[in-house]
Amino acid sequence: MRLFFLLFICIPFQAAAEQLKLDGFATIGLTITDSKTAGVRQHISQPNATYENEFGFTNSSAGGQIEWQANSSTQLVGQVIFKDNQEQNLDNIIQMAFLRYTPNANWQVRFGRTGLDLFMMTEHRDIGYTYTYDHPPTEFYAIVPHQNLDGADIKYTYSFSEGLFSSKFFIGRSTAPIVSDDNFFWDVELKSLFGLVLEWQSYDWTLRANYTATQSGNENEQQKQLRAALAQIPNEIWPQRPALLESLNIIGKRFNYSALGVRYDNSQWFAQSELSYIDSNSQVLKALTAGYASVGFYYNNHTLMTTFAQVKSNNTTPQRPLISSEQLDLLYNTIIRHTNFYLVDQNTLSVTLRTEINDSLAVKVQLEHTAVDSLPSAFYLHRDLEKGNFDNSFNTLGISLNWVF
Amino acid sequence: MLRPLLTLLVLMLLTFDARSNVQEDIVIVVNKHNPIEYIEKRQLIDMYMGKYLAFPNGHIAVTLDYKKEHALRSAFFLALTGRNIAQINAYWSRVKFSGKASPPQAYPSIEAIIDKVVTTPSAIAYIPASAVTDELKVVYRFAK
Repeated sequence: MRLFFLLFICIPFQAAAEQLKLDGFATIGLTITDSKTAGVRQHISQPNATYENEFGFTNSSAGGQIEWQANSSTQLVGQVIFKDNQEQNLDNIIQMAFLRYTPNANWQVRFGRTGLDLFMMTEHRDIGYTYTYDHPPTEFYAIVPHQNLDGADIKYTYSFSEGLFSSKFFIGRSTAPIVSDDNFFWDVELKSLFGLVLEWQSYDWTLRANYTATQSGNENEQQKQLRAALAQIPNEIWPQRPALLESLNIIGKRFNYSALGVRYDNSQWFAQSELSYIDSNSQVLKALTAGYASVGFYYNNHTLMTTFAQVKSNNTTPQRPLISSEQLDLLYNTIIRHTNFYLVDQNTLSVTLRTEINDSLAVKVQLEHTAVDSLPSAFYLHRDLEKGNFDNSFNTLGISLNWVF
Repeated sequence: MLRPLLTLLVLMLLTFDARSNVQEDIVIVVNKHNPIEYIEKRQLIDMYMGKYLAFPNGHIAVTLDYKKEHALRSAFFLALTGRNIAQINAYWSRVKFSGKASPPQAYPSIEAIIDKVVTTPSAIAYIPASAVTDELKVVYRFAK
């Protein structure tokens, strides 16, 4: 009888276990730089950065994924990531939690929290094993803190004799933090977010185009305080005051992301490039153009790659008030740090070596040289800004061990 | 003294067995009741790279694979895609961890794969040509 009971509870469990997949990943990343004023970080959500004479481990991360095949067409997927976050809460840790319904080979629908399919590597950029770069190019990827979408997407795939065509429409909302100097923290909400991804894949080629539109759903306390302070200043003293007030009114402002991506990989050598254009009707980020191009080759268990990445925005620094006082200068300096947050103009040339140590462990070494025409910048945290002698050129070495298990 | 030698001998035999499998022709098999007779290599690539999981007649395919350490796996993916197993593992990590698709269910042995194909009408798998049984239908054969 006991044996029967044991079998009774074991059979369903065994059947369920067969449909259950557990996977994990981890990256230990070391960053060394000769930058004195610009603290190097991977993206604008990171609260910690690395400066000259420091060993930075903030590019490390770890996490896991669980997949359960409920039936032949329904699957549940969950993923958690522990990384350098200002706040370690459940919302930040859960990267994905969605239900996937696949009624046939052509259609797929997902509900819940999915990756945000903005650029080629947005959905998995914290999982170092999945790409050759030590980190995705800063100029292209660091500007967007959002990595997931709370909503739904629907994907249609059609098989041609020459390759596969797919189109995906997604809709929902997304939140992600922006962290900057002087304890600036803003959990940015993107509401009414929707987008379309068109992709063509053949044996060696991947071509994709993405268009995403969204609106800012919230503002932070500092923006409210600055608006209140600006409201006290007469237009005669600061003619640009109305425009500045408008730029600080961020709720409901529209943001559009357009991107083109291409990858060629013939298993001997590869090339990958993406171009993006982000525009909005907010003065904070009028227009930003970014792109990168990588080319590399495989040699046994090694991959050698070089990348050039560039970004430039067309933000302009606001004019000063017509008169100067201690309070007005302080207000001006605080405001331009807000309006100039996305004032970026820089490029990076990098060389990357990735070596597979075994089937699930890879070591990556990346040396990069960055030339910056605009500091302070959203990409970095900063030290000694008041001295004014910014590093406009610096080198960074990244070494990482990347596992999947 | 004898025990370590025996262990070594068994290990060598196992290694030889695994390598002998790799040297053999690899064939793609489906359940014998599956109506399809032939699959193109491009369609196999789409299936085993998680891009499009359907037979030529449009029916959903259940792809089966071996555990990561199985020797047949690297030989199969090299023959199928021209890419080494490290490139394949990185590719599948990318697909899996971005939530785009789930990798094939992995089994530890050829016997386990055959059992699954025999009991699953929509299954597709790869095995050494010498392991084909009457319960299976060969739909693609890799030339040496």
